[in-house]
Amino acid sequence: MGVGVGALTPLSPGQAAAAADPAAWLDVHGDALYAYALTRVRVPAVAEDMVQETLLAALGSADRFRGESTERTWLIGILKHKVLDHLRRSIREQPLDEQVEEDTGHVAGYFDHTGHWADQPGAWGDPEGALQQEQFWNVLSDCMERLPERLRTLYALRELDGLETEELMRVLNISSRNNLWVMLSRTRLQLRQCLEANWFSP
Amino acid sequence: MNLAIKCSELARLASEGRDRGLNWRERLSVAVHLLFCQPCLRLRRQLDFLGKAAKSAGAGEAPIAGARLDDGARERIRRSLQRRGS
Repeated sequence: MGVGVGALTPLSPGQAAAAADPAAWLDVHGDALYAYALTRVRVPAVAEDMVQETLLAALGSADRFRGESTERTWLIGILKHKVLDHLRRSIREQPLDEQVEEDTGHVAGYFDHTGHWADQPGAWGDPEGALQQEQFWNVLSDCMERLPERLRTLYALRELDGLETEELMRVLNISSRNNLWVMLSRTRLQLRQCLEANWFSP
Repeated sequence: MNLAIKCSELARLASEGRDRGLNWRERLSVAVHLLFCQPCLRLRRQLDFLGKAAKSAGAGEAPIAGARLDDGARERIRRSLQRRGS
């Protein structure tokens, strides 16, 4: 077997275990794992712990990595479970205050008493171009940071990870679908306004 | 049949349409409102864009804001891996 061919052949489980190299995982994927965790749990020390736990778990289960996904996807998959577990636990200790969200209502500030825009959305031109600019991602990240913690967590799980309503209700211990949707609606309006103010028409 | 909705309701439906299926009446109300309301049409497009941006951020295609392991953290993790590995 030629060397070039060998490099492209998926590793058998035994080979994968033999090839497990957590130091290399840390070098290659450490920042990506850390960024993933930090976006969702916000506390740097917690995010660091999760990266460590993920790599340790990966080390213990390297024989289950069969090369069907990329190494990065495999590691992120492990990390995602750890993040969800962490959020479930911390939400149990400090439940979301649904009533407050409901009372404040999502229209507060954005519309006048007749239901018209208090401040109309402006023209964003061609926003697609922003996706190519690193500075845009910094602005989006800053805007997410400004959200109240519970809304930021909810938004990240919904839009970054694509969790559906039922799963969100379970993880975040929210009992009312309507409240959940109202909270998401408020969050999107706030993010929209923040992006407009800080990127599209500063 | 009254399909007229206010901008505040449009905003709620435009958002909820991303989280649940709207019924035909809601969809029709949205479509009619968007025919005549430029600001709400912008809102809908901007929410679409926001969703797309967030999704690529979630997929790790975009670097979210300089989140990098500093040297101290890297070293701590490296040591714990060595302990376990040996």
